[in-house]
Amino acid sequence: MKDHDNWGGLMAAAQAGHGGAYRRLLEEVRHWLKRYLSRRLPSSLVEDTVQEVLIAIHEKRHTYDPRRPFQPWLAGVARYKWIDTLRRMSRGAATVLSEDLAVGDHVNETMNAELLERLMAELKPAQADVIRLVKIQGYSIEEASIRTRQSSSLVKVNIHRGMARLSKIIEKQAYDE
Amino acid sequence: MTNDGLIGKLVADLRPIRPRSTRMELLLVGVAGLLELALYLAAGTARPDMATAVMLPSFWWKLISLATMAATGVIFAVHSFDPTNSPKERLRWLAALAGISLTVGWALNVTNSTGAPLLARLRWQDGLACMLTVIALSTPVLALLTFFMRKGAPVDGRSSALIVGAAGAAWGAFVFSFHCNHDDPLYIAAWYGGAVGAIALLARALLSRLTRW
Repeated sequence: MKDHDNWGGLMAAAQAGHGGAYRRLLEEVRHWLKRYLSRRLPSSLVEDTVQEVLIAIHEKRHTYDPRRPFQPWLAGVARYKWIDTLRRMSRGAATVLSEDLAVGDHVNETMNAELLERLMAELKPAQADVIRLVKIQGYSIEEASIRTRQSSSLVKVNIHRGMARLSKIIEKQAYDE
Repeated sequence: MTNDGLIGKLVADLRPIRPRSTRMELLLVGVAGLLELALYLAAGTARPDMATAVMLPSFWWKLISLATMAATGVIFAVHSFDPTNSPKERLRWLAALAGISLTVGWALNVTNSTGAPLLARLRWQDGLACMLTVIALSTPVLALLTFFMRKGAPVDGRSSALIVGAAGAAWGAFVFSFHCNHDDPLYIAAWYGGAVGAIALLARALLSRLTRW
């Protein structure tokens, strides 16, 4: 992570009520956040999450200790909000358990193929199979059911459980980083 | 809203603030805890057989274990409210500390066993009363830690909440141990340990939701 020593000084000034320093800090941080989140989220969620992080920075600015580097603090806040977005994505995946749940999902945008395969290896084969078919390759629940010889309900349950497990794995990896 | 619009709004909303001080938070929790202990003892609740109790190794085991758990837990909890700190490692240390305390208690139990049946030693009616009192006495420290947790920016809410619950409950149990005349390690492990575990799990379930940011 590139060192932005000045950001600490700007935040210290912002804590003292200096609006100019605060504006400069938020504008600079915004670009960093966009890069940080673009590598981790579907493009459609990046802008919203950047804004959530900016609001979190504002609301939690008193938790920054000016004697310490700013970047780890910023990364902590950004990672928390990123995980929050992942959780919402996972909940979204869990609630849309309708027949046409398939297609148009953002899983393939979120992670590169290698990472996705590594994550899939952590799932039970039955869960990984249906997630690959429905969420990545765009098959319908019925098609996935025929191909995997699982009932339609079981396909939905396995997608639901598999997505929840994926979310937990990502979350754990993020905290362990 | 555009990013520029949001930044403008945040800048307009800017007010001078005092950076969070972990030392001040630790000090306030310490003062609240000691004040509670002082008030509890001032109410004449100290056990009448204190002079004999201080001769028992199990009394000191109970007191030192709970004080260490409470102090360590409070320090770990307050540090975990900083977004740069993950509480997972500290949680493991706290669990190890609880394990060491229970092992020492088990050793004391083996060396001083009276040979009474286990169920009789547990004295469940007294035990339940002890548990409820520990829960009540953990409230002040628990409430203050919850306040600081909400004010802070914990990044792993469930682990922080677990530490907060364990720390508050350990302090409640420490205060109560000046009154409780049970020094049997089995009794302490079962009922005090049960109270600490129950509060920690309850805190994990409730606080992690209440303190989301």
